[in-house]
Amino acid sequence: MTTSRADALTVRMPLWLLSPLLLGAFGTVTLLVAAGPAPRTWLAAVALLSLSVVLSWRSRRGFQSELAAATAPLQEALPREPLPELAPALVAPEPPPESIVPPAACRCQDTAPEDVEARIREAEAAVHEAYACRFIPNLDEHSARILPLWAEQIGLVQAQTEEAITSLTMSFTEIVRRLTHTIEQSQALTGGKADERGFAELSRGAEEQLGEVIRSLSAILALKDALFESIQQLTGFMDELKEMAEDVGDIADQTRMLAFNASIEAARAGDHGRGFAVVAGEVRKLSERSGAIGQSIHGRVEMVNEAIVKTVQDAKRFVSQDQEAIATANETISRVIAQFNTAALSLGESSRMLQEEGRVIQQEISSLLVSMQFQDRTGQILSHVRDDMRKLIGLLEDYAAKRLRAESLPSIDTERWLDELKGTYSTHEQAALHDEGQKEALAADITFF
Amino acid sequence: MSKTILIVDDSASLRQVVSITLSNAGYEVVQACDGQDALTKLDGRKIHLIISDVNMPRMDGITFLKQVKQNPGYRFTPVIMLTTESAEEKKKEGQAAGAKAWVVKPFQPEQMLVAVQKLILP
Repeated sequence: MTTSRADALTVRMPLWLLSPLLLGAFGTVTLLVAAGPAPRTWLAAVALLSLSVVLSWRSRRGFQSELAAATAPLQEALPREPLPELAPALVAPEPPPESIVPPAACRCQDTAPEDVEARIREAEAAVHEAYACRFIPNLDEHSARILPLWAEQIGLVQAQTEEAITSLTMSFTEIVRRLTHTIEQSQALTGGKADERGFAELSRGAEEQLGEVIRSLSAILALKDALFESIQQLTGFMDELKEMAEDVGDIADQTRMLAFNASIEAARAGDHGRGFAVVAGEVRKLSERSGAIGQSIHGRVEMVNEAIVKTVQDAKRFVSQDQEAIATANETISRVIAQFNTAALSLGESSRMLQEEGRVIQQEISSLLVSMQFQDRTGQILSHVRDDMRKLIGLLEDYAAKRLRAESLPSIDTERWLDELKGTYSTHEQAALHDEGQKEALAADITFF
Repeated sequence: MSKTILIVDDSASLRQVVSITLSNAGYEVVQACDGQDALTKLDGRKIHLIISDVNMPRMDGITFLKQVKQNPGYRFTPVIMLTTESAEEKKKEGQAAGAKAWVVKPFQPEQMLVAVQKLILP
């Protein structure tokens, strides 16, 4: 361990220590060339050369003692036990002080490759111990592992919100479509005019038409009345017929009496009355026939009379039913018209309310449409954050590769990084946030060219 | 016959919002997800107005606008840029490329409809 420690701290003689010697040699040659070979020149050359040798010897000694002094604390600091793991502190690291920047000639070149990592670890640990308050030893590796996870999770957030909002706006489209359709249909049903005049006209028209129906029914009733009057007249005729039938009967009786008397007279006349008796007999038969006819006429008239009376009675009953029915129909129609008017009034009211609601709903939809545009902006902002994370991951990977190749690691140009980041912004909120307080006035929403 | 409007934006939800706004007002809407997709959709169809985003993958809005202006069938179709960018330089770029208007997101539906009615081809 001791020998390797010593080896680790050995440095090759830097070239600048030899510069007095070189200058001396150069001076000597110049002098000899310029002044030509002469004893005096030779003397001066020798003196110059010796002076330069002495100077470079002294500076070498001085450098060696300085180096020993400088590396003494490091030699002591080399660990005998492994260092404890430090909790990663989320402290913004200050740029490393000058003395910690690795020297231009990297030490890895005279170290076996398999030892490089180990040597680096040891040196880093030593540095950390010496400057413990300035460094988080494994911040690079730590960040290289954490940042990809963060980047992926931001990607998850982006994808999920995009999906959710797209689905939401689809549903919203459907709702708006249905709502607009329903409102349009309702307005169409009310004839497009949502005022009372429209409905009043409609109800007046209905009343007129129904009145027509009532009038037709009443006309039919009047016809029926006329019919009944005609039937009544028939009854009168029936009475006359009855009288005539009775007259026929009377005539038949009288004729029979006559015939009877005639036959008596004929019997009294004896033989001279025989012809007369025959006539009387015929007249008697005639009278009997008339009497029979008179009876049957009477009977028939009675029957017809009864039929007519019954018909008139039935008809009269139906007439009164019809009148009742018409009266009821009239009442019903009036009631219906009244209800219709009330309904029309409230429908007009509802239609007005619907129009008003429709206007309010339109405004709500409008403001919702503005809100739903947020996802587009948040998606953009998240993209920029993710891209910048990936950029940092790339840089850390690059540094890790540089370490393995023994290349020196430049410090990160944070100002330039921030400027590049600012260049990727596409929303004014990002720019405003970046500049912390430079809230530029939001440009007018629409600019026409 | 209703007029047709092409909306070009990489955000599906924003395309949807523009679509609702325009179709409620009676326009027919065609959607495209970026400049290249929009160029394929422009194939022969009669378009009365184009609304385009600026920041899109594959082909951005300004490039798309320039391509449209070179296409004989659509050279006179008015184009409205709809974007989160509000910087003057960007607006000038859009104006130079031939846009007719620059709308900053988020847009108000009524204002968008006013602009559309003002600029759309008869």
